[in-house]
Amino acid sequence: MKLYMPGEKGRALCEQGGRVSTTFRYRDVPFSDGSGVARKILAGVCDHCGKVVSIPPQSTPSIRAARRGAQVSIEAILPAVYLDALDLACWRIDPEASQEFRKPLLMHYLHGSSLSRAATQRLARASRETGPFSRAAKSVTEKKRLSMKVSPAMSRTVERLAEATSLSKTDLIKGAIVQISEEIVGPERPAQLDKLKSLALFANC
Amino acid sequence: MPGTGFREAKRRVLKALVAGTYQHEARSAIDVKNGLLTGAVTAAEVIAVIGRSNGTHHTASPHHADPSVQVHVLRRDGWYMKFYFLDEDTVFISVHR
Repeated sequence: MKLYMPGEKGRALCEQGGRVSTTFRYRDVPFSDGSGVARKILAGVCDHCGKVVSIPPQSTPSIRAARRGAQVSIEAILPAVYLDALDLACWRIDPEASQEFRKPLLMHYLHGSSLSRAATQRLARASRETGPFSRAAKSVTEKKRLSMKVSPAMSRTVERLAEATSLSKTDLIKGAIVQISEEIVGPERPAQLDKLKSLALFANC
Repeated sequence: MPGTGFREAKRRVLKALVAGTYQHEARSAIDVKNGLLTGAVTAAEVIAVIGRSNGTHHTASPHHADPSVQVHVLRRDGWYMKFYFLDEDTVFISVHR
């Protein structure tokens, strides 16, 4: 592959100047969706207006790393019993992982719910659960905050689920925790336990 | 611009992808829809899609910043690829699906 060098001359089309000469320089370049900045990447800078007008492929690994770092915050304040159930499921899967496994486990369920219409509907039904969680939530006022940083891709998955179900992110999380409780906390022998133990192992290695 | 225009465009863009002699257009920002730029898509994947494209998947139109430059668009198997040639350089505007 060609390695472009700082100071090397190039050509590009500039919005302002049309066909222009460029010089490769290291620049901080923002993402077009406002999600962050890739710092000190090599870019073709217009010799006339000084703007970044091209980017060579050797900057892609740095851009990819910066994109991964550009995480999105998801927060929810839930009746405490929901987080108790989530933590109990994490503990049952891997006592070593504990609360660090909250995010991977929740995202595993939310991602799974996005893969088919039937799975999305199951999640929506779980969010409307009228059993023990609803009763406990009504009778006890204690709440806990769940705060997670997720990748832009995962955030988009949650956004799509919210749109498809007309539910808030908090309700989606509640639904996922109800499913987690039913499938991992409740059963004597959870069907997915071995698979989830592997997930916990990789999530924490 | 199907026909010989496409065949020549295909040859040049594949050569640039293999050799790594290409760039991405930028307007003071990293276009997050350009998966080849962000690393969401590999050059090998793009090569495979272009390799199975023909003239029916191709259109071309002038670049708004320089009408003498033809912008090539390929739509194939749900993929959308937009690029142009500037003298000896190949410049991608967008690669996504």
